[in-house]
Amino acid sequence: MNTHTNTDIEQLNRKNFRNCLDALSRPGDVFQITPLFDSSLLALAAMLLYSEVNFYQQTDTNWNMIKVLTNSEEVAVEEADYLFLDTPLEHILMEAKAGDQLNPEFSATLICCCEDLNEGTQVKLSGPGIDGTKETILPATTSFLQLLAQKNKHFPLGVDMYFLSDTHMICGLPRTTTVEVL
Amino acid sequence: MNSTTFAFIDEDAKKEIRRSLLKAVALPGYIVPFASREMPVARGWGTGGLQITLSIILERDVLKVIDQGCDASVNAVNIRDFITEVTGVKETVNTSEASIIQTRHRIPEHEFAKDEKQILVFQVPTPEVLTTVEPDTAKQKQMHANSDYAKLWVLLYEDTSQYGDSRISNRYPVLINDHYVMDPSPIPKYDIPRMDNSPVLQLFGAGREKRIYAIPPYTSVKPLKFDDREFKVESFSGISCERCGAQNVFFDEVRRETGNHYFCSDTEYCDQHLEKSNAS
Repeated sequence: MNTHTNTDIEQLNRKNFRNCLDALSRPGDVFQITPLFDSSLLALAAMLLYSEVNFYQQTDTNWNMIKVLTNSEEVAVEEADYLFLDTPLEHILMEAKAGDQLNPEFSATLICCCEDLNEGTQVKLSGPGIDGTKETILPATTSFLQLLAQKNKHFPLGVDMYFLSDTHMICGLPRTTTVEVL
Repeated sequence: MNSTTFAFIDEDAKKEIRRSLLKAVALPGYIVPFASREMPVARGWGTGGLQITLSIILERDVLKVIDQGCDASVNAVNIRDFITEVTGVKETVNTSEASIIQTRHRIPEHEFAKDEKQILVFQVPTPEVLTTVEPDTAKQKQMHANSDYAKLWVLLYEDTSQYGDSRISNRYPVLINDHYVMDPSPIPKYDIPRMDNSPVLQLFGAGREKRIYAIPPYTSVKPLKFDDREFKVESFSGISCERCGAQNVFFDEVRRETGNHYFCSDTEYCDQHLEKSNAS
């Protein structure tokens, strides 16, 4: 692993945060993530995690450095604020916390890796952040997207998602977005 | 390690604000509590907006700060000077050139470009829209959870029945994405329709009250009103700016012995309009 000892992590974090904010504000649009330790997933983890939030991960990556850097605790799926996954997994989606009516922000955010954002299911997106509707491809199966729709059916309860490609591109999908499989 | 922190706030504080911002964007109109930090200006003087701006700003950003539409008021100048000093970003008064616009109580007159991904950061004194009808914060939270806005409707009904229209002149309650009712900050009613389906990301920060909320771009923003009543904004019919001659914009009213005088509230718009008038 290249540890990039000269990397300014705070600079990386603010660049990556801004792209995540843009991605979540404009669902379906694609933004660049600058990797940390050669991994854009770890770059997102370094940006999102700190001592007040916890996470779950199911990846092939070594998380020791992230735990040291962020002081964030690794917990079970149903407790996690952030879930980092190598691939969109349906059972993880179903177990992820969706918040409650009083505190809908106590819900999970899923960060799912994929090979390519342009390979997957053809969909039509609508909702806040989208000017009318937008046809695009989401790197998940039809059944995963149907489960996601089920999970986000009762707004404000639900989960927010990011898809992250091997080419370090990110696409956001907040719970407000309606996904219609074409 | 750098000797000074970019944008003043420490990294963990920024992460806390960023977490709240992402949740706020995913829950349009919902008020997200956050751990507000001490800032080098007094609470109530724009610390919420300041913390948001400092947490999102990048070296490449171009910053504009306005106070009631004015680029040159004390609050705007001090906040702009502080942010540029701790970040080194370029500043501007030009709305179309700015990537981040921090504002107190106005939305700039210029139309926002569709593809510029501009961010509007509002300074908010009182984030909770239900405060006027329900002082108990626990009950307010319950009311939002139940989408119970009956007390606001009663207030609107009482005003309408007694005075023919709502008496609320600013902070007019708005329904966001057909779910949460939200305080739009003390912007005039004139600016409310301009929030609807706007191409900019609108972020709201209340530092003293420790609350953040947001309206994503292209989101429905509707003022609360009865179906048979028109939402009326401030009327400036027949009035033009004494300085630049502009019409159909929001005006500042200045009262003198000689009578009432009107000037554009947005000083940048006024300057540009004056320049165009002089050129033609």
